[in-house]
Parts: sequence; C-alpha cells; structure tokens
Amino acid sequence: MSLDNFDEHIRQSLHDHPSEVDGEAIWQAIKPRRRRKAAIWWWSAGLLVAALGLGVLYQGLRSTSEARPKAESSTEVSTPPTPAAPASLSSAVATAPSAEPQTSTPVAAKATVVRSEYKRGQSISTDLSSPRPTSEDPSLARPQQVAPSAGTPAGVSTNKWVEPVAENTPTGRLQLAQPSSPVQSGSPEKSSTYPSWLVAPVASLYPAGLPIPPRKEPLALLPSAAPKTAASKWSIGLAGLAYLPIRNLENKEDSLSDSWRNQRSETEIPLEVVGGELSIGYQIKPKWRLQTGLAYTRLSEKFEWAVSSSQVDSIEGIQSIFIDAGGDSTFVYGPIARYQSSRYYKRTYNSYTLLDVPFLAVYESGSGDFSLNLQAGAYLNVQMKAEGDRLGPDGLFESLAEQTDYRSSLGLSFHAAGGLSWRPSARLSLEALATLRYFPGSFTTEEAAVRQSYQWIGAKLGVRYHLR
Amino acid sequence: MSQAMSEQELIRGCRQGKAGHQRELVLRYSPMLMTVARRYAADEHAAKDILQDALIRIFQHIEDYQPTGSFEAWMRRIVVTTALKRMDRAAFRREYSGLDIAPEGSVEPEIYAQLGAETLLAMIQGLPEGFRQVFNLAVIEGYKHEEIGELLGISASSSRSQLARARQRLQAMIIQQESVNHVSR
Repeated sequence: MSLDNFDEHIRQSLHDHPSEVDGEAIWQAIKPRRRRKAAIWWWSAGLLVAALGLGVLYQGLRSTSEARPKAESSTEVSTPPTPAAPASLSSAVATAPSAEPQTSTPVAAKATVVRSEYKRGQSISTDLSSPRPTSEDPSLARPQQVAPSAGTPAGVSTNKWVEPVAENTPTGRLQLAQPSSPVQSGSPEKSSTYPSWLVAPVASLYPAGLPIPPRKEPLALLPSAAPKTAASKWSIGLAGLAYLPIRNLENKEDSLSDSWRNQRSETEIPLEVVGGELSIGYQIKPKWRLQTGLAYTRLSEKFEWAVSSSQVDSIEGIQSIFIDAGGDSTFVYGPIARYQSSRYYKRTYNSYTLLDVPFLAVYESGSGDFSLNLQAGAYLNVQMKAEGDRLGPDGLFESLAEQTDYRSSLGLSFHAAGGLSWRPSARLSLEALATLRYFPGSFTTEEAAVRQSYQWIGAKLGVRYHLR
Repeated sequence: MSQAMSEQELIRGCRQGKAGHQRELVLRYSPMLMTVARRYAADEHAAKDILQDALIRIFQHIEDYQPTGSFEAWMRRIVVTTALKRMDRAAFRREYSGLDIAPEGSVEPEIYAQLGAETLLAMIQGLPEGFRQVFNLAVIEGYKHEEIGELLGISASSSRSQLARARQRLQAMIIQQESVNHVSR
C-alpha cells in the first residue's frame, strides 16, 4: 500500500465532506453562551449618555427654579445668604406665634439682613421693617448682605446672637426683647407681633437668651442656599478607578506569529483593571479646573494552560512464555515497550502595573449641590511593569518579566470622562464618572512578533477636598 | 437571513455581535466543522460538544481573525484546538496496551478507494484517542511531527510511532471491512 495514496485518499474524502448536523439546534444551544462584545460598548455609551443627560437635566431644572418668580412669605424673605445663621434665625421667627396668620401673598416689603461674620461673641441683627421690593426687583433673587461695619440700621429688631457658636454649627440663643420693639415678620401691612404676656415669661425663663437647637437639616421652606464656594482655588482629590480592559493582539504577517497569537488569545484572559489616583487641582476659571497628580493602575489577566507529555522507551523483559505438552516452559526475552505520561497544569494571574501622571482639564457646571463633571486629558505613563507567565512562540512557558518585548513606559494615553459631582459641604465634593482610557500605542515594542494593545472602559469614583 | 450574504458581511456582523449573522455562520459552516469535530471525537455526542465549544470560541475570537488567510481554515484550526483541549490525555497511556497486536498486511488502493467518507470517519473515530489525534494532525491537517509533539506534549518520535500504529489499525479495520463485504457479496 502506498502510504501517500492512502493518506491522500483520506484527506480528500474528509476535507470537504459535510456532516449531517442540525444547525438550528446547535445555534439554540450556543445562543445563550455567546459573549456579546457590542453590549459592553452599548452599556458604556449608555452610562455616559445617562450621566450627561442627568447633568443637563439637573442644570435645566435648576435654571427654571432660579428664574421662577417667588411668592415670598416672611420666613423666606428673612433668609440670609449663608446656610448656617439664617436657618436658625428663620426657624426662630417661624416658630414664634404671630398675631395674624402668615400668608403667601406677594408683599411689597424688603428684608435686609445685616449680617456680621458668624463668629463667637458677635451679633446678627435683622431688619424686617424696611420697604420690600417688588418681584421685578433683582435684589429679591438673593438676600442682600450689608457689611457689619455699616452699623445697625434704624428699626432693627433686637434679635441677637449672644452665645458663642462653633463654626458651621448654628447653635446659639435668641435674646428676646421686651415688647416695646416687637419682632416683626412679613410686610408692614401683615406684621406679626409677640405679645408681652408671652415674651415676659419666656425672657424670665431664659435670661441668657432663648436656646436654639442646632439645625440638622435645611428647612424645606428655605430657598436653595447660595453657592458653596471655597476660599482657595486649590483642591486635592483621591479617586478609585475600575476598568474593563479590551485587549487586542495583532500578529505580524508570518504564520508563526499567527499561530502564536492564536495560542496566546486562548490562554490569556483579560480580567479587570483597578487602581487609585491622587490628584491636586487648581481652579483657573469659575467652572474650569486643571488637575495633575499620580495614578497607579493594575491590569490583571489569567494565564491558563495544560500540557501533557508521553514518553515511550523499552526495557528488556519476558515477551512471552511457551508451555509445551510436557510442561516445559520456554521464556522469550526481548524489549518491552514502556510508556510514561505526565500532565502539567499551569495557572498564573498576570499583572501589568502602570504608574501615570495625569494632566486633566475638568469642567464642572452647576451652582448647587450637584454639578455636571466632564474631564478630558492625558496620562503620561512613567513606568509599566509586566509580571506573570505566557506561552512563548516555541510552546514553552516564559516569564513576562524576563521578556524584552514589553515597553518599560507607555508614553501618553488619553482619558475622557463624564458624570456628576455632589458637593455635600463647602469643601467636600464626591465624583462619579464613566470613563474611557485610550492607548494609541501598544504595550509591546515594535520588535515584538505580536502587538499587544488595550483600551479601557470603566468608572471613576472620587472625593475632592477644596482647600481653604 | 439572506443566502447571498458574503463571507465578509458575515464576519463583519459577527464582529459586531449581531445574532442574525452569528446564526447564519452556525448554519452555514456547522456541517463542515462537524466533520472536523467528528474526526477528533470518540463519538457523536463528544463531537457536538466540541463543535459547540469551538463555535463559542470562534465568536469570542473573531476579532483576531486576519482577512489575509482563509476564514474556513481559521475556523477549522479553532475546532482542532478545541478538540485537543478536551482530549483525555490519560487515555494515551491506557491505549498503548494494544499496540503490538495490530495485524500486518497491505490494502490495495482499489479496496480503500471504495470506502466512503462516512465509513472512513467511523473508522477514524474507532481509533484509540492518541492514535486518532496524531493521525488527524499528521494526515489531514498536515502538521509535522515536531509540531504535533508540541501540540500534544509528546516527543516527535512518539508522534511518528503513533502515526505508524494508527495506520496499522486502520489497515486492519479496512481489511476486516473488506472481508465482511466479501462474505456478504
């Protein structure tokens, strides 16, 4: 038999021979198991659009709210610009019994708040009797501040903060005057007066002034607080990063790297990227900030491969035994095949650690607690380190750290992010962003037979402290 | 799905994760890929498992396919790799017990030329695991013994000896088949 003919016949017979198979059943079986790469992009795009949409929606709602004509009550009008003192004062006024019911009818009265710095031992006085502008008056949009040094205006009430208060803690006492100068609320036409029979017993009970409990939550009736601005333009931030890496292996044109790339695609599975970023920011314009700092990220991959080996050799031994009719035995000695097989299973979690310096421009639009946060910029990679194992072109394991085809630094990569910032206090803000990191270059050198590159998509959660 | 969909369109749609294109790929190429899977599997059930796993891997790695090569050849290679991964390597050891009992003989070309593809497939499936893989890789896929050794984790000389023994087994099966046919005639 000619082996070549035999082999050729089998090759030709089987190469294009279609087997009978129920393709639809196969499709139904694998349908739920497919990995839908497109879904990742759709999710990311959706997240980004949702974040942007929320930001725009919030901005729109806020603008509408600010533009809406206000129907003031006396309580609203008496609100000073800072969130601490006015709330307490307003609550004190609001809880005092009034001779006439409060109305929400627009009134022509103006509440001018004379506010000193809200510090220990200083006083706050409220003038509720001066004429109040109409709704067209732009001064209604925000309460006016008058410098304490301007002196107490005529007709000021005797509301006075006399107890030392801690910063940002609106505790204190409201000193009640005798009814000769009644506390007024609302317009001159609809003013309320504390009757003497009420003030006198209270004043005797609290000679040092009426205790005012600390305010824990903003009053619902109060208009939104003035913008929380920090005195300094500098800020420091700490952020956590989580990405889904999308890896691309490209081979050169020769078939060796093609098969090597396929083997590596099957044995190396990208897992996730996590990291942290410490940054310092400087506000160059009201809504713009520049950021830089240091970022550390770690890309993890799983390398998994099983290798079996078989060795065949021979040893001398008894091949057969013949026993004749007389009972005599004949032993035939000769080589006997000996087979040895072993299996080697290897799993390593590879890592690529990156040390980057970010250069980011941040746009934050929003004057209240929430604002739209957009970021763009570049990361300068100063160090990249690969650790772990992979399958080499010769089919043997090799350590990533010993390879020369990985770059020691990656240069520039680009970053874009969008999301929301929440500012719970004047100095603190929290950020949640959907991010994209684009690496124009590869992690490998130009000489590498297989080009290994990544794009990252994920999220960034951070906290930022605005310095004094 | 249109029958006139070109291979490029099919690949592009699969890369975008379109279910319709993926289904079309399964329907179009499953018969051809199933033949490859059957050559490496011991039975039909195992062949179906190999085919399903291979199709999943094709969808997962279709981004890596370079249009410079044949798409069919690329898919065949994935089926082969999938089959080798599932191979029971422990069987290599067990099956050597019968190595030396294969009868010697020759098969004339006119005898094996009458064998159909399905009969040949059944015979190949009947080979012990290690013989079957080496025979497939060497004879059908055209790998060299050094490459087979790397793929299977055996030495090149072992690959050669297993191929020789696989041929002996096939010869025996063909002779046996021929004698059965002769008696029935």
